Amino acid sequence: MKCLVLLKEVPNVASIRIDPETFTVDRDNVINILDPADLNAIEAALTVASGPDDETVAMSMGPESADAVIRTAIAMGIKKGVRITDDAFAGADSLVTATVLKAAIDKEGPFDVIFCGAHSVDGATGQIAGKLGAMLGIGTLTRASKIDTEDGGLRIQRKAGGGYEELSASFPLICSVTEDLNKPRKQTMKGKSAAKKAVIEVLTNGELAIPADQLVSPSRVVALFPPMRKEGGEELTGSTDIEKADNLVDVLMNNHLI
Amino acid sequence: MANKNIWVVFELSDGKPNRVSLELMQKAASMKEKASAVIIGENAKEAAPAAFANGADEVIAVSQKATFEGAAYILSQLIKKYEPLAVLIGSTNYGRDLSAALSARSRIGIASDCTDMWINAEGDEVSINWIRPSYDGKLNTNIAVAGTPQIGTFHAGTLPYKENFGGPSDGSIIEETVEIPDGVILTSVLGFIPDDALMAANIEDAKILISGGRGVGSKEGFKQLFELAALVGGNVSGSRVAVEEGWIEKDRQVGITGKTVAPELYIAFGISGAQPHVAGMKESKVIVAVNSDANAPIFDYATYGIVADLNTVIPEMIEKIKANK
Ligand SMILES: Cc1cc2nc3c(=O)[nH]c(=O)nc-3n(C[C@H](O)[C@H](O)[C@H](O)COP(=O)(O)OP(=O)(O)OC[C@H]3O[C@@H](n4cnc5c(N)ncnc54)[C@H](O)[C@@H]3O)c2cc1C
Ligand SMILES: Nc1ncnc2c1ncn2[C@@H]1O[C@H](COP(=O)(O)O)[C@@H](O)[C@H]1O
Repeated sequence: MKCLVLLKEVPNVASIRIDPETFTVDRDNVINILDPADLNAIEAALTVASGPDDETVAMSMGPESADAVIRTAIAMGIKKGVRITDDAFAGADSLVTATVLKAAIDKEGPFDVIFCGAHSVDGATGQIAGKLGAMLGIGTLTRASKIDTEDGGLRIQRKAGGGYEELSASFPLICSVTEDLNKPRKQTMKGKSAAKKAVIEVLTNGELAIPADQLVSPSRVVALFPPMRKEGGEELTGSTDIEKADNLVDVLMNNHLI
Repeated sequence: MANKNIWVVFELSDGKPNRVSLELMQKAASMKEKASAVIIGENAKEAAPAAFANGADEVIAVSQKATFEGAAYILSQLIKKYEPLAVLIGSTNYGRDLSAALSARSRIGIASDCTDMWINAEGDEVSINWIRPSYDGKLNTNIAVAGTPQIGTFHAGTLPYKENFGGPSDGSIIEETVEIPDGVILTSVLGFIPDDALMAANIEDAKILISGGRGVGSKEGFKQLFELAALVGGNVSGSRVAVEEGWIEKDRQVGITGKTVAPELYIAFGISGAQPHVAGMKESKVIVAVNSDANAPIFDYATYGIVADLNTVIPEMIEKIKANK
């Protein structure tokens, strides 16, 4: 069994400050973290590929700082790390990101299972699993909150309204996971020292040879603007809070809302 | 490129279009360009009247059973034939999987989880502004997508919806069949398992939501919200703070990292109205805000507001409603 986990380094959104007057984005002092659901993807990979002969690889497209998230995965027990980087990949949207990841997967694979996060906290397009599934021509299971291994494949459950949808696919497949799936394991001492020593393989477009026309992102941000504030509605008044509450119940009942 | 046709991809459950399909249909109909519903599924034509009633100028019906992979393949073929300007898809499990596969298969750009869109047309120059919240909802992003068609996805409840839109009961239906080659369908959709815990927290289908935030103060405090909800036949939801404090389950969270809801009545107790929260409830029919801070932004969105202490208001509401029953 050969298993891949895709990792994305994201800014901790809470640490980004927006100037309330000018609406400019202040990215100073922004801390980068591993996308939270990717921890669950690592755990899934380590659970599915837990045998002594199983291979596990963590892969991230990003600048040098992304080595840190790859080392996190190795400290948890992933055996090999690959980082993909090239000036030609800068500003990639979800289509180009998937194109680059596919090229790297073709080079490092084939893999029986690929795990990734369902929805990253920054871009949050949630598109990567579905796009890679279609590009690689493999089964696609998204937003798993439960996974069962069955002969030759996986069966997942995902939340949908008042229940779970159940889907399955045979290997090879890609599966995106949510934070409901599992509890990511802690880093071990042994893992931490392996992570420190690990040599992370770097792939550029020199190795991947993706044609330039496939690296043009169709979508781009053209403007940032503050959300509009609406006109408020009617204030219900009263001399005490009790009176206000009574007025509210009257209004709701008269309008047949309750 | 003179074609400015807007497509809405319908999602059927038990043969009926789901709510977000109809919201998108109404949105497409409001844009002055030709609006088409693309309905893929067994007996697709049976859903056509709903499409017309919600503003479709035309229905393209593909009466074939198809999961997201098959539907993405069918759409990739139909897009080549009809060359629409935009394809609108709901951000449901099915719609997300479908939109990702279609975008990859046809190599076309996508703006996902939008909250609005509009078309700029000057002569033959056409562009679309796709709007989505970013930076924790503090800013909106205007996304441009190169080429056509362009895909946009939207959560249920983010676009306005009228119960009686007033479209005609029928119109022109184009029937298509598309053969799906081997190797396209690799994923099995096995079925649906109802779950009591998820059912109890199914805030998306509630007609009335009694919602609480940090102002509620404790898990104990939420008991009153459950009591009030039970009295009026509603359910309980809350802000992310209420979830993070462990007062309610994550499945009850409203907002960009929770669920999008649009009930008949949404009562916000002790919720400030931060953008990430508001993005998930602003299309509710009637919004009531109860907050002790007269400057809380939630009042901007409220149909009715009272500046008061929720600890006094909730018990009084419960008592008065009981007395009137
Ligand atoms: C990446 C990211 C995603 C997020 N996603 C979401 C999301 O999906 N949903 C969401 O809700 N938030 C989300 N947030 C958090 C959001 O930014 C706000 O922090 C949050 O919504 C605030 O919750 P609140 O209104 O309950 O608390 P606060 O903002 O602290 O407001 C509490 C309110 O209660 C009022 N109050 C206090 N005591 C009383 C009383 N006794 N009676 C009446 N009123 C009282 C106060 O006046 C105040 O207005 C997200 C944040 C980030 C960074
Ligand atoms: N640059 C990247 N490198 C590796 N994996 C990525 C990258 N971007 C996204 N992913 C994977 O795709 C998931 C969903 O990301 P997104 O589509 O941005 O919401 C992430 O949780 C990662 O597992």
